[in-house]
Amino acid sequence: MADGFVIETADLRKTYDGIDALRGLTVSVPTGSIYGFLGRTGAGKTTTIKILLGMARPTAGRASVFGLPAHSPTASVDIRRRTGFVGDEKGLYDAMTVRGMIRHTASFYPQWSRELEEQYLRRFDLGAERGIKTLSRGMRTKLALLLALCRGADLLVLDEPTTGLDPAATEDVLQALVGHAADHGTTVFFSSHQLTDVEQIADHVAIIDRGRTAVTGALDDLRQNYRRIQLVFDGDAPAYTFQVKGVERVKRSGRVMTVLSSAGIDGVLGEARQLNPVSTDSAPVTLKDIFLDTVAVED
Amino acid sequence: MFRPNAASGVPIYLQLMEQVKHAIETGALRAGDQLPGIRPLAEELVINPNTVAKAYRELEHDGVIELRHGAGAFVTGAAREKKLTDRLRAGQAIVAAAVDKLRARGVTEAEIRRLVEAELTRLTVKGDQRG
Amino acid sequence: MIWQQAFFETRWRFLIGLVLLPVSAMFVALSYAQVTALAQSVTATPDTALGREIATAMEMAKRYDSYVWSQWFQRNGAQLGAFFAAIIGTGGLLSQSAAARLFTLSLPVSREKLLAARAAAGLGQVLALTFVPALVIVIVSPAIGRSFPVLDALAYVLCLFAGSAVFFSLAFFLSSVFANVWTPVVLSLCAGPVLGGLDVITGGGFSLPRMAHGESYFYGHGLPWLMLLISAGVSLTLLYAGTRLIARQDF
Repeated sequence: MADGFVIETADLRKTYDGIDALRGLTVSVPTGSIYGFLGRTGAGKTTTIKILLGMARPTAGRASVFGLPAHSPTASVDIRRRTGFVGDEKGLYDAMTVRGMIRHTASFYPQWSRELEEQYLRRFDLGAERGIKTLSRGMRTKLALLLALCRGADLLVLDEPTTGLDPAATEDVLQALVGHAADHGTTVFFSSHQLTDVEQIADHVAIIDRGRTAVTGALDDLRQNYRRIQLVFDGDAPAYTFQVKGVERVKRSGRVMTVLSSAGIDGVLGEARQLNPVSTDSAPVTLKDIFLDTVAVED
Repeated sequence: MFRPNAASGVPIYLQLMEQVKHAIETGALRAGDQLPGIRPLAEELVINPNTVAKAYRELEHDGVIELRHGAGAFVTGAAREKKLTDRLRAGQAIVAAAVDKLRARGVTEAEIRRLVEAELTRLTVKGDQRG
Repeated sequence: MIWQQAFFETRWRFLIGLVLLPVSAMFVALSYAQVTALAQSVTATPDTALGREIATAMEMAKRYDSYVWSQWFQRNGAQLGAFFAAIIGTGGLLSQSAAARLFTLSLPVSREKLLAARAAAGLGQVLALTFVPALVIVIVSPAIGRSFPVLDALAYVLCLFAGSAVFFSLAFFLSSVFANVWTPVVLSLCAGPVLGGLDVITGGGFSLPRMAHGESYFYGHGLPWLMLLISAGVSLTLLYAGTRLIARQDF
């Protein structure tokens, strides 16, 4: 694994029928991390996952998993052998029973753990003889998770694992992920538009917006470096363009100028001094704020 | 015993460190007590195991806990604990006095909380810049 | 396990065929006595198309082996065989629900292998559906005091299988183009009349139906090796093209 990254993409682009699903996505997922892949619906999360698993081929750019090229059909088989996947619709074979689905899936993975299988069957309270068609969404998710966890994968790729689940089921799923990652050192890459899930269990995040990476990094670094700085002026806040690095966004409203900085406050405050604000104030920024500020702004 | 809030802007490992220190200061954890293992704690709190590991590493660096290989994490020496408690008691007196003064000036409870947090933020930020 | 899954997908169609075809074949064999009795009471007038057909049937019914051939290998068996081959050939990756499809694609198996397994499992089922009824005919014939040579049966099975395989492969290919289940079935079955028409145009030299019926073997000209080879080539091309289409597709 080159440089300790399980997944690496560089300027990844994908056009589906003339529509740009990805427009330059660059992410590096460190080995052993729980990586939250955040974006609004339609931002390109599922497309990225499909490319990583060889279900779709990139139009341009590079994507590798375990250092293997994801676009190569032969390498892709090796990638999938070491990867557990939970799709966003929790798709399984409706005609099978829980047990049948498990045996079918297990047959593809020589390292399948019967012990983990029994453990998760009990823990998730999945009736082995039940038909898949009769399972609730939460149960399907848990079964899909079981299938992904028991195969001895080095990487788990989950597309919106908690979407549509009630809080209790969400907690069960996240807890199983965290516990599994702690026990086995498995790298977890999960997409979500649920900020709370990402904040809770991720240590690295990428925020993507309309097919492009908007923010990436260690979550702790983001929490430590992102600051919202408020400058209050005597008259209307001046129209000013900051030169200092890390200014993500500036909003003016009457006497108040709000600056979102991704590099702490000192640079911004130093530069702001020449504008003679009457008061300055700063506050830490939550992931939600970062998300809303980088993604949801209409331009 | 620990309950970090993922949605606050403060890194979870920092919150966890504070909560461990707080537990020691209040006497909930004493010298020689064993802290939960990384895996069970991560699973219980549903937080990233790397985050727990990072908090423990930092706490060890601060001399608050001791990581014994294979055995787990233990709270260190009693003297420090006592000193911390004394320090805390002194601090509490200062805060009480300040809060009384502020209330006398008509500052509301919510405003006081905000002021304290803003001040702490300022300190945290300065600390970051140095570090 | 990909074999098992491929078999699993079409198991009901196959099992229905596996009941329907042998029963139908047995019925053909066992009703020979009634047919010969009937033949004696009918005098066909060969002035009309229907009359000519009846006359031919009466002629064929004079001998047991020609009766079985004309009623089963040339008619019911061939039609049912083509029909079941087309519906077994239909389906696969594109007809799965979007979610189940992604799960299939996430397994550590190349798409080529996935489709090869499906083709092999399906062709195995088609072979069983041509072989078992023929076997039934061979077995039940002594019950009415007749016999049908095993070697003849095997020759007809080979021809019928080669013909059905073309229908299977056509449906397989069309299933790589159309995501719904019905278009491939309908189009494949339409291929029957089209091939019949082609038959007329080419003067019967390269007739898929005649090859599938084993006509040349019946009339003592041996197996239609060239046509068998051509139809095998057509089937393989269709299977390969269908596999390539899926392998190149973005999901």
